[in-house]
Amino acid sequence: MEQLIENLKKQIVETLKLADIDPASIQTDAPLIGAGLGLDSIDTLELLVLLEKEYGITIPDVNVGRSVFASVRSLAEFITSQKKI
Amino acid sequence: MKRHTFGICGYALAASTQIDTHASSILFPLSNDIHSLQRSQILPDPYPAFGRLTTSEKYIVALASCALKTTIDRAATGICIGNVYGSISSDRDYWKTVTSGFPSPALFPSTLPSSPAAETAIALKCKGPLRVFCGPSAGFHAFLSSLALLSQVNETILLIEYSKDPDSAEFGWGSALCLSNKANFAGDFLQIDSETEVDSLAPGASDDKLYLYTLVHALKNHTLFQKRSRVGLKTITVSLQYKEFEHGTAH
Repeated sequence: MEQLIENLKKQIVETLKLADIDPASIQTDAPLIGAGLGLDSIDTLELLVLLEKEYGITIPDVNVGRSVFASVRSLAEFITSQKKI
Repeated sequence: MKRHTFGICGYALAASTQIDTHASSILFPLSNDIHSLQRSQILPDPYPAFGRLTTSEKYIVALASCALKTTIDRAATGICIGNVYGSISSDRDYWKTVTSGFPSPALFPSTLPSSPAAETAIALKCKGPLRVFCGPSAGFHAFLSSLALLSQVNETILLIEYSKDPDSAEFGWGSALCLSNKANFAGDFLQIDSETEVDSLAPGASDDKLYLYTLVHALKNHTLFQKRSRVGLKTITVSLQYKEFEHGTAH
């Protein structure tokens, strides 16, 4: 899980071109959208594509998406849970 | 009551004048390396998208941040921008994502000529009017537009221009800085001296002289300036080689 979290932080920075942000500085439990990392809806769209491309995972609906993109940890937990299915 | 602050950012690409030295000391106290410009150097608040701005956008945000340092009410600050050339790098970066199969919505805004104004407004929380002009004389039109806005509305206007050719007529805000150096420049304020000779203000190509003459003419004749003996004309400029446009987004 910890390795996945670290990878996700790097992928978020690379995918969203957040060159000004050190992946290690992203707090695992901080909100990704709005407060915390401060991502917006367009960034979320890019992360959705990242999930599909890199992990073969789709978000079924908005409500699931809200909980999945709550933090890096929730994102990692969702990916792990989907792989088990 | 109208605000008196009148910001002009001259985003010029000249390479060897005293203007550049002056600007560098203002803008880059922490680093002389253009690619090392970090959000934390100029903005106290988090701005995740800063890292994916093109180099030109980063510098415009930086310039605006300097110009607005003493402006308290950013909610009443508008931006007029003249974008002469845009950024090649943003188009290139976006095109790469197009060919990869997923056109990046995050990179797309940077391909628009209005992007520097929008990003500046977002980063600095400016909520006044945004006006963007494109084309060879975009800077001058932005300047006139801001004068019109200042005479009509209760706003502070920040003017930004970026241009690549210091010898061209588009070199407007660099000329404005020349003006401020030759005129009665004191701190952030500039008094337009009606006796100032245009020729002495425009060392360079004849286009510059003509352009500067027009600029001085506009300054002198606009009611805003006629009514006030002291105008807050804040000038900041920066040196940037054209090649930096092509390097663009720092990854």
